[in-house]
Amino acid sequence: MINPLRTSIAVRSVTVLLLIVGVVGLTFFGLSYRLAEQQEEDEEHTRLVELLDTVERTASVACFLSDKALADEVARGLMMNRTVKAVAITAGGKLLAHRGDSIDALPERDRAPGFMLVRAIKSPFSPAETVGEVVLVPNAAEIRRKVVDAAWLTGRLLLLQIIFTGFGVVLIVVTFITRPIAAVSARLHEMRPEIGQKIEVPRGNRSDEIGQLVHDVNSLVDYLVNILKEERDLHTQLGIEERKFRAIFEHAHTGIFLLDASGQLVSFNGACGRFFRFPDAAAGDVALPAFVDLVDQHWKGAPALIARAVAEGSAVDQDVKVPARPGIAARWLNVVLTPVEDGRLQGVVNDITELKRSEEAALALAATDPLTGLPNRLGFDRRLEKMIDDCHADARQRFTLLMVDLDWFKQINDNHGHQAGDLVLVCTARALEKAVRKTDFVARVGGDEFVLLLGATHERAAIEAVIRKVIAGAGQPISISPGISATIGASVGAAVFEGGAMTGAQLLRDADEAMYKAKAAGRNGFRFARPAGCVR
Amino acid sequence: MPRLLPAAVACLLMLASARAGAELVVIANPASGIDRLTRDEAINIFMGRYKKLPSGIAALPVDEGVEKADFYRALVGKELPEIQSYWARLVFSGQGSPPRVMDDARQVIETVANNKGAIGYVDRKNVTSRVRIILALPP
Repeated sequence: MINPLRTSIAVRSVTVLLLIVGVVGLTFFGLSYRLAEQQEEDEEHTRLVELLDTVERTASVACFLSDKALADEVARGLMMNRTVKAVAITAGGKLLAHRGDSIDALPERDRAPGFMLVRAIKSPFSPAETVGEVVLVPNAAEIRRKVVDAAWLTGRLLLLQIIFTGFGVVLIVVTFITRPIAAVSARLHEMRPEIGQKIEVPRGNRSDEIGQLVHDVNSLVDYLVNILKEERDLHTQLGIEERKFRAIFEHAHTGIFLLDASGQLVSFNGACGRFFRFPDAAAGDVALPAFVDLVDQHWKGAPALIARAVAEGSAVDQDVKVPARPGIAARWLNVVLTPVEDGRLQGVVNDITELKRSEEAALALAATDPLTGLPNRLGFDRRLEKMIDDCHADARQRFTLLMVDLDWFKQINDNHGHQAGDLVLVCTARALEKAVRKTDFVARVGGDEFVLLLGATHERAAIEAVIRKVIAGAGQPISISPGISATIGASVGAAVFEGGAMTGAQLLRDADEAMYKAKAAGRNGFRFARPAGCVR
Repeated sequence: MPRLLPAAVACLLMLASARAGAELVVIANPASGIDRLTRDEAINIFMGRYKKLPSGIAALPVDEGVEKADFYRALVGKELPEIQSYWARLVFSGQGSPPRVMDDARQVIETVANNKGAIGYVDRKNVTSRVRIILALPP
């Protein structure tokens, strides 16, 4: 329920004012009533005294002569006055005339000395002689009635004053306060400060408090609008900057991502998604899966690298190969993880496929014999080392090294030139490759020396079968120029790697020795370094 | 004749002095039973308060047209209009009437001499032996 006392200044002002006027008015009314009563009594007294003065001469005569008729005339005359209750005229102790109530029967109050008038009547001819007295009792009820009448008039005037004052205050408050404020309020409601609107000062209030208030509100609005505008400009500026950075982030060829402390992907750019082949669904910002789960199928080492970055508290990096998929080539990625604030990790991913490729190409080139396309001594050394490492990792692993030296090659070189020699070498290389399994390894380690590494082969019979195929392949006639063909032979030394403490160099030496023994025993033969399958 | 003139002058002077210094006296019938009257008694009788003389005889005050004003002035210190207004009140109430008015001193003396209760006033020099002076009112 709306309480107008709370919502309306006019009602409140009027209520307070009426209360004040009412209380003050009633107080004054009470006071004035008392005063009026007293005054009226005094006035009445004076009037009665004057009345007595008026009739004194006649009364004097009446008393002088003890003239009852005249005295009665005086008494009747006095009784004409409504405020006179009783009159008694006595002369020489005898009652001459009496009108109104019996004086002796009147209440004490009416006969009080200050209230009842007793006038000694002098003789008309000798002022020293008292010839009688007039007793006059005022009519208290009549006096009070007069007072009440007067008070009623005062009360009515007071009431009228209160009503008019109330109306006046309502008028003043409504005209000068409520209406201007309501007008200002309405304008404030409709105002749209953002397009520069202001509150108009109500007419007639330009230089008063309401005008000042409106002015202040306008100033405040100006101030706020300016602040808002600045804020908005700043916001726009920030948005532009944000978009700029976002664009840079999104279009960078370097993948960038951010992980939170729990390993969740917080954000990543397009390049990152492409590199790690994130499903398209991951592009949405909602419910990104754990990073390690996303990259699991390409990069098993992710959890380890994350753990390292967290443990070391500094940037760590790793080259990661993302394997080929149907229609997508394999790629090499360099991932750098840097711990940033709040336990987060920032990741930078660069495509280093080209780099890796050229590196591998350079490595391959360095380990390749340019003439035959077979691995050279360097390539062989690496392979041998790796196979020995594999054997050390798995004790059951065995492999066999065949050292092949060509027979009669020098003669071909001498007789037919280096070009023919080169041709023979290339053909022999192809023949050797054909003689072994694809998984086996063929290298050219010297001018006419080849080495074969036969993985997972150590039984003599199997080795011998391979050796025979090698010798047969090397012994095929080779057409070195139109109409001329050359035939060479091959001597083979075999050594089996049995594991244990044996080194690559020792294995090679063993094979070498066996090969020389075979060569010494005649061409196109072979020797084993030590009996295969025989464990010492 | 030369002796007559000073006498006439003296007579005129006397008259003048008598006029100015005429002494009124209240007179009563010698058989009224009173020798003297106080001023207050005279007032009460002439103003109608007392209907009887101190001796008990009904009083009959009379006025004298010529001396009336001087008399009341000397007796109660009031002028004639006031006296007339006083009597007017009493006439109205029916309770009394003013003294009868005589034409001159001779008539007053005649009335007083013929009525036991009558009292009046005359210039002292008009007093005869038929009346008795009971109160002198010096001017």
